Amino acid sequence: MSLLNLESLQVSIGSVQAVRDVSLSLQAGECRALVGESGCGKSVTAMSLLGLMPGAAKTTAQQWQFAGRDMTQLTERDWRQLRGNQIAMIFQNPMTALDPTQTIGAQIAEPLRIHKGMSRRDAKMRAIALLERLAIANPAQRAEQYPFEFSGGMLQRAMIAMAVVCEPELLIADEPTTALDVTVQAEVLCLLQEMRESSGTAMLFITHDLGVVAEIADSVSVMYAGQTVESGSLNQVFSTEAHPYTQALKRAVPSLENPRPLEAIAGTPPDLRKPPTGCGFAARCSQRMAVCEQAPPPMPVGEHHLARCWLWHEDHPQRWREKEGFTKTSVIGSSRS
Amino acid sequence: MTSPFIKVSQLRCHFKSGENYLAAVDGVNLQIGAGEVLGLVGESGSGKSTLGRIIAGLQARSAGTVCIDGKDMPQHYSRRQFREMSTKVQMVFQDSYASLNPRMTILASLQEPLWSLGVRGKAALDKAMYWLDRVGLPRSAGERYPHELSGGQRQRIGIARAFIAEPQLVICDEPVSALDVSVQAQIINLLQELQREHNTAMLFIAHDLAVVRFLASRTAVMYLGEIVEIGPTTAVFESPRHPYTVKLLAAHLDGNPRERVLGSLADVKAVANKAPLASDSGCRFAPRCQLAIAACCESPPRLLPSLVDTEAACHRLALIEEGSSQIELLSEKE
Repeated sequence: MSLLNLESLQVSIGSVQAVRDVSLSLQAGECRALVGESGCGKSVTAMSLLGLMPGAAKTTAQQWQFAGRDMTQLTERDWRQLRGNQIAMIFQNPMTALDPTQTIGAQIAEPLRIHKGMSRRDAKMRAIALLERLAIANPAQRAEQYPFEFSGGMLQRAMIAMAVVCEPELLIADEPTTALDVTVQAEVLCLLQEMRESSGTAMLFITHDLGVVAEIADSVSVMYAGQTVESGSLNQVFSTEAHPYTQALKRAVPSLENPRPLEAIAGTPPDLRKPPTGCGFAARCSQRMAVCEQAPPPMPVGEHHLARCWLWHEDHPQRWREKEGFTKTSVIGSSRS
Repeated sequence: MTSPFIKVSQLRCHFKSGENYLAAVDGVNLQIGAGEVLGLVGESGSGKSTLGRIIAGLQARSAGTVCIDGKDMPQHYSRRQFREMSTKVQMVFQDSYASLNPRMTILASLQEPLWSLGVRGKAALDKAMYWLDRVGLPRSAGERYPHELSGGQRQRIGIARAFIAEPQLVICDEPVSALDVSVQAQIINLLQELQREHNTAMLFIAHDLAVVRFLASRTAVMYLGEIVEIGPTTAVFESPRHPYTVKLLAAHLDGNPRERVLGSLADVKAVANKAPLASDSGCRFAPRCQLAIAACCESPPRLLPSLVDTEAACHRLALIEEGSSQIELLSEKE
C-alpha cells in the first residue's frame, strides 16, 4: 500500500485556480520529483500536503490518504500532531524559514520536545548529534548560535536537521538547493540522499532543475498550469518524454556535455484566473490538434507512466502506426527533427 | 584581436571589514576583444559581480587600471566622464524589477538612454518602438509600467535598454538566473542574436556553467577575488587544469539519469568558503584542495600557460598536466 495517495487535488485561492488537478502517489522510501515552472502550483500542492493553506483557500480532493488515514477529515488539532512529526518540510529560503531570535539548537530540538515529549536537555543532545552527522564542525558551539551566524549552505543543513529530527515518513523539500552554489548544492543533495537511505523516509522533491531530478529522484511528476501533465519513473520520463511540455522543457535547458542550440518554448503559461477549458499547454504546443480544445484526461504511456495529452489516446493515428511496428522513440524522434 | 576593447590590469577592490580588508577583487588581469563574449563563472562571493560593476563604472576600484577602447578610465568618474563611458559600456542586471524605475512607463525607460545622448522627440520614440519589436514585445507594452510585465518581459526591456544606445560592450550580470527554464532559453537566444547582429563585446557573468558554455567563446573562472583559470571555453570545459575548475565542473548536474555523479562527489564535503582577506598569503583554494602542498599556503600562485592554450593559477600545474597527459595516453592506448 502506498504511503501517500492523492487523487485530483484542487485548490483555489479567491479567483485563482492554483491547483486544478494534481494526482500523486508515493511509496514508503520513494523519492518523487515534482517539476514545473513558477506559478504552476508546485508550492501550493506542497503547502496543501502539510495542511498549511490559509482558510481562504478552498481545497478538495477525490481521494487523499496518508499512512492509511483519510486526510480530508483531519481537524486542525490532528494536523498539528502530524506536521513536523510524520510529514516535515524543508523550505527554499532557510533565512526566512528559521526564527532569527532562537538559537539553531533550540529550533532543531523543538519538534522533539513537542512531538516526542523529550526533555530540553535530551532534545538538545539529539540536535547536536544530528548537526554532527550533517558534517557541521563544532556542533555543540554551533547549536548555541543564531541563524545570522550561519552561511547559506550551513543554514540549509540546519533546516534539514529540523525537518528530519523526528524521522518523518514523508519529507517535502521545496526547492531546497535553488539558492545555493553548485558545490554546496552537491553537498546538500548528498546529505539528503544519506538521510533518506538511513531512515527510509519518502521524499517529495520540488524543483525546476532537471539536472537535480536526474540525480536523486526515483520517479517524476511534471506540472503545468495547475495540473500534473506527466508522471512516471525517472527513466520513463527522461527517455520517453511523453508530454509535449516535458519534451519542450528538456530542449530548452542548455547542456554542459553536448552544447546544442536552445529551443525556447514560445508564449507564456495561461492565466489561472481564467484557465483554458481544453489542454493547458495547447496554446504553446507544436503538436496541437483540433481535439486539444477538449481537456485530455491522463492517458497511459507505459506501466505507471501517464501523460495528460491526446497524442497518447489509443485512437490517435500515431498509436496505430506504433501497433504496426513503429516504436515510441521513433515517433518522438521524428517530431523532434 | 588587434588591441583589446577592455583591458583591466592588477585590478583590486578592497572593502574595510573590521580590522582587516575584504578583498572582493584581488589583482585581476583581463582583456575583452571587440565583439568577443567572455564568460565569467564562480560561486557567490567570488567577486564576479564586483568585477563587472567596476568595469561598468558603478563601483570604484581600490587599485589597478581599467582601460576602455584605448583610454585609461579614472577611479572616480565625473558626470561627463560617466556619460561618455556609458555610451560604450552598458549593463543588464539580474533583478529586472529593481533595475527599472517603477514610476516610468516602459517606453520612457527605453528612451532614457537616448535622451541622455541628446536624441529626442520622434527619433527617440521611433527607436524605442523598433526595440520593443526587436525584443519581441507588443507595442502596447510600451504604455505599461514595470510591475505589469512578467519577469521574462521585464528582462527583455532590460536588454533592449542596454543595447539601444549601441554600446560596444554589454555586461550581463546573471541575466537569466531569476527566470524559469523555458523563459531562460528565450532570453539566452535573444542575447546571442543581438550580440551577433551588432558584434557587441560581452562580459557574461553567471553561475550556471551550461549557459556560459553555450554563449561564451572564452571563459574565466573566479575564486575568492582571483581569476584561477582563463582560456577558450572548449578548453576550459573539456580540459580543466585548476583543481577548483575541476571541482566546479564535477558538481554540475547535467540531467542524465544514467550517469549519476553525486556518489562520486564525496570529496565535495570540505571547508566552507571563508571571506578573502587582503592579508591572505598563499593560494586561497588550498584549504579545499586535495593536491595542496606546503608551498600552496606560502606564496600565491600566478596565472601560467597550460598545454591546452589556457592559463591556470596553480602551483601544481606541472603535476596536473603530467597526470592528465598520462591519462590521455592511457585512453589512447585503449
